[in-house]
Amino acid sequence: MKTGLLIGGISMNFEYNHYYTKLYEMPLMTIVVAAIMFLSCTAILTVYLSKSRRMTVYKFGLFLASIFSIILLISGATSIKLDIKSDNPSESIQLLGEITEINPISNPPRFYYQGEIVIPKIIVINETEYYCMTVGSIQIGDYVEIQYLENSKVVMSIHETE
Amino acid sequence: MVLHVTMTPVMYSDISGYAPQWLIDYWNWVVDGYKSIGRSISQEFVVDISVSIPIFLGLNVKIGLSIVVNLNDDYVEFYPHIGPSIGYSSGPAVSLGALENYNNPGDYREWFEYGEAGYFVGGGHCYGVSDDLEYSDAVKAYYIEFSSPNISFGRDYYYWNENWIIDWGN
Repeated sequence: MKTGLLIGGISMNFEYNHYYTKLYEMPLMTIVVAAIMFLSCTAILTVYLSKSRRMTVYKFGLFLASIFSIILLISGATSIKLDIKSDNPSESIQLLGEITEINPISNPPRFYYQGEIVIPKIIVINETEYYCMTVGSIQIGDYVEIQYLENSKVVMSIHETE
Repeated sequence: MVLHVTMTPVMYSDISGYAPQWLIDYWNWVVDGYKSIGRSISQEFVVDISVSIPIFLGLNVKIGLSIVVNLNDDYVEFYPHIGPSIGYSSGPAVSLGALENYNNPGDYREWFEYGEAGYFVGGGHCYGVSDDLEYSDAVKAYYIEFSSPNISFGRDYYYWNENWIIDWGN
C-alpha cells in the first residue's frame, strides 16, 4: 500500500510490506535462529563439561557461540515491533508538525528505498516518537506532514511543508 | 611492428583468424571481472576473522568479525556476526574480499547468505538476503579465505552500530 500526497518540498512514501517484513518477520526469524543456536551450544557445552571440567578450545568456542547467540537474541527482541501486526495499513493517521529531534536506531534493519539501502530514524513530533524508514535530507526544525500507523507509530509517508 | 587503430595500440592479435568467438568472449569476461575486482579492492574491501564450531552432525555455528575498509571515503566499520551453517567447517578462518553494491556505511548489515569451500586456501561468496531486491542488486562480497578444511553453506547475521565507525576523512 502506498499513501501520501505531494504538497511541497521533499516527499517520500513507504510500503507497509517492507515495514512488516523488517520489523516483524525478520526479527522473529532472528529470535528463533538465536534461540536454537543458544540451546544447542549450551546443551552440548553442558554435556562436555559434565564429562570433564578442563577447558579446551572447542569448549571455549561453544561458550563464545552461546554469548553471541544471547546478543543475537537480544538484538532480535529489541528490534521486533509486535504492534505492527495489529495495525491496519489502510487506516493511517495524518499529522502536521515540526521535527524537534531525529534519533538514531541501534542496529537498524536494512531497508531499501528506491533501490538504495537507507537507514531508519526515530523522528520526534509533538513529543511523540515515530519510526521512519528514512528521513532523506529532512532535518530538525523542518515542518512536515506525516501519515503514520496508530499502534506501531511507523511513518507511511512524510513530506516537507512550507 | 606496432599497429594502431584510431590511435590505440593493438594489444592482441589473431593472425590465423581461427580463435572462436566464444573463447574471445570468455577471455573478455575474465579480464573485465579481474578489472572489476581490482577496482573494488582498491576502493573498498572487507577483512573477516571468524571461527566455526561444529555443533551436531554437519551443523555448525560461525562467529566472527568483519571489518569493512573504505579507502574512497576514508573510514573503517565493524560488523560482529553469527549464524548457523551446514557442511564441514571447524576452526578459525581469515578472509579478504571485494565488495559489490556497497555504497554507504551500514550497507553490510543484517542477514547474509554464504557459500565457501577450501582446503587451507579457498574462496567464498556472500550476499545480503532481502525479499525486496533481486540478487543482482544485493550487497555482495567475493573473498579468498585461509582456513582449516571447509565446505559450508549458511546464513550469518551482521550486527551494525552507527557509532562503530572510525572515520579519518573528516
